[in-house]
Amino acid sequence: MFRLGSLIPKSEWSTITHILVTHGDPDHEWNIDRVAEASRAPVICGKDLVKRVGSETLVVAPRSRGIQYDTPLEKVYPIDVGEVVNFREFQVKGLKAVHGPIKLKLFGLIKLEIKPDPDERIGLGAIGFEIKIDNKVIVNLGDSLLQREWESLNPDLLMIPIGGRKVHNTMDEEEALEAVKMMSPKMIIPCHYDCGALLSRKLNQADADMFKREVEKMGLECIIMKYGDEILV
Amino acid sequence: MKIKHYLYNAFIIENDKVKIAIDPDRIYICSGLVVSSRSQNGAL
Repeated sequence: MFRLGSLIPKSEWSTITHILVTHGDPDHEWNIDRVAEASRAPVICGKDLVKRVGSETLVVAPRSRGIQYDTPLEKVYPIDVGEVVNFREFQVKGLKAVHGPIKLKLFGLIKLEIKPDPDERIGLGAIGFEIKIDNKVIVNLGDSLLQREWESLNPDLLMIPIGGRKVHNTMDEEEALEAVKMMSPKMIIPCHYDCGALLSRKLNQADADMFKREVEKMGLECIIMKYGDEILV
Repeated sequence: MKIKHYLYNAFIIENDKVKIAIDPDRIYICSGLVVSSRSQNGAL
């Protein structure tokens, strides 16, 4: 009845050239070692996801519950906010990202709140990415709450979470609109909303159509992407 | 440049010889709901 699956299809894994990881939650990090093994691609992630032990670089075990640095990766670029990694074809810069707490109701009764903390797995190593590629700037903010430090970014393409209305683990639609106003990107892709997880069809619910309408009122382009959609920019 | 999206924060950015995966992740849900969830989002 239950199953585990990869969102990025396995058929894509071997042709990946670089892997970017915004934080250590399972819905973001689960397959990094497997994709890295299949592709031999380097991993770029926040510093707190990685520990250097002897000659090995170990990342937090992707499929364990706690914080155990036991998974070796061949090529890792741990970065902090403001740090830059230059590859031949593109550049990555670390951006401030702050993961919100996770608030859950179990069986409709038991309330559970997990706050991000250095000793807590939720949001571990949170970082956003500014990617400069093909004369364009792409910003991905991971599961972040609104941060004033993004004000001067002005990307060509902004990937922004909007599903934090109930749980507030990320921005909600209104906060994401505030971030859009601050950054004035040319194009916006809302993400991390209406996700299926456990028994819920729509964890992180959001009104993407309303978000799109409000973005378009600012004279900016908003593209709602469904599973597997692709666009040319 | 091509951008692909796979729900959550999972993206692929493809340009020339580069293929960047952002947050290669997992989904863990009731298989019946996988279909519902993804068809609701227009695919699979």
